[in-house]
Amino acid sequence: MKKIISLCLILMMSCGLCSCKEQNSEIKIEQIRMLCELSTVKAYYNNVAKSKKEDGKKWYNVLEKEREFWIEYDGVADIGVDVKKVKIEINDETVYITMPKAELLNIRIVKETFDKSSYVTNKDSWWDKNKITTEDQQGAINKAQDEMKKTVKKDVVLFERAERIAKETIKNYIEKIGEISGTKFNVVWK
Amino acid sequence: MKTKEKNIEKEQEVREKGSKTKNVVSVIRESRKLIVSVLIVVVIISFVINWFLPNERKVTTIAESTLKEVIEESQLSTVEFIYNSITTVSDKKNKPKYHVAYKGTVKAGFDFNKITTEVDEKNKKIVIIIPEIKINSVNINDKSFDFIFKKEKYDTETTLQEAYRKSYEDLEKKAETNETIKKMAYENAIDGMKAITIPLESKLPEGYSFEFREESEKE
Repeated sequence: MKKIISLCLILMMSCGLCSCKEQNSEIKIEQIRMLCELSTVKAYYNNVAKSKKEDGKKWYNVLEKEREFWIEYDGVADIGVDVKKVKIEINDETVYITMPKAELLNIRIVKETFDKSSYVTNKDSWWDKNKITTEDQQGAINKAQDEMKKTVKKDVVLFERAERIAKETIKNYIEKIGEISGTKFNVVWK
Repeated sequence: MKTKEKNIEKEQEVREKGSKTKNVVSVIRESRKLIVSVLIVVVIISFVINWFLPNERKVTTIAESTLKEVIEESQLSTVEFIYNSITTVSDKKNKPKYHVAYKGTVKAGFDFNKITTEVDEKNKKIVIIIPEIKINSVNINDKSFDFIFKKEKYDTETTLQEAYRKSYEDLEKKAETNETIKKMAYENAIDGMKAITIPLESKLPEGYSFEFREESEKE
């Protein structure tokens, strides 16, 4: 009887130990997209988000303070063209190319600029805390990223520059093919 | 006699006045009690209502964005992998502090300006050599973080910054070691390059055609 009980205990402990095993980093691919995006301009922005968090309105929050926090970081916008939309037609030595308009391909945070030093805040109340949560900060960063996106989209000069570089890149490639095949291609933009 | 009557009348008046005054005082006392009771009830009801009302602490943000620098490049991305991932952030003694779930994207491709060409006269081929496929960008979706903390003390005001960096490093490491991303990027790069190159095939010397090769396959 004692042996059976000991065996059961050992089995139960083993199961417990297995369930305590730490979850290793897990990764799951949600989607794979085939692209053909030519990024020709990388625009770096300095973003500052200044936020205020209200204090609580309940009678027991009377000692709570309004909090203020600032987050500063760099963001980068990739601008370029979708090469799948490029159309090439050839007539003798003239190559007619229809180039799509440049578009905003991607916006992201520059990892190296987003650390503990990018965050400043006023002191919290000693007695009744009004903590700045990760959710509060995420909201502020989302607002900053949206603002950056608006700023990028308004900058027509950046998009024109991206288009011009895309055209030069494709033209250089066609001229390279022409050189090696002994044909002097004349590139015309439609 | 008359004086006595007068005195009696006066006494009666005083008594009447006294009782009237007593009535007024008792009414006032009763009113005060009523007012205080009503005030107490109102205060209690306010506390109760206040208790059940939501205690939202609204956050208002003003954001500003200023252009710093513009860099020109020619990075062609030919595949994008969208990931759902979980990583564990530990302290200096390697003790787990919290788990963070995040979404991220990885784009792979090559530098378009580094495409080279060769002539294979023996096989009559114009060889387009695609440069080595690399990870062009790693992007963490900053709206996607979810946390499970081992202890509440690890939920600090700088947790988000730490989680972002750890997630980025985690995804970057996984992307670099994922051969499937590079393989698919190369296959799609070939398709993309064919689309803009094959129309020129009619202008090649007779018998010649295009061939596409990865840089690592160079003879």
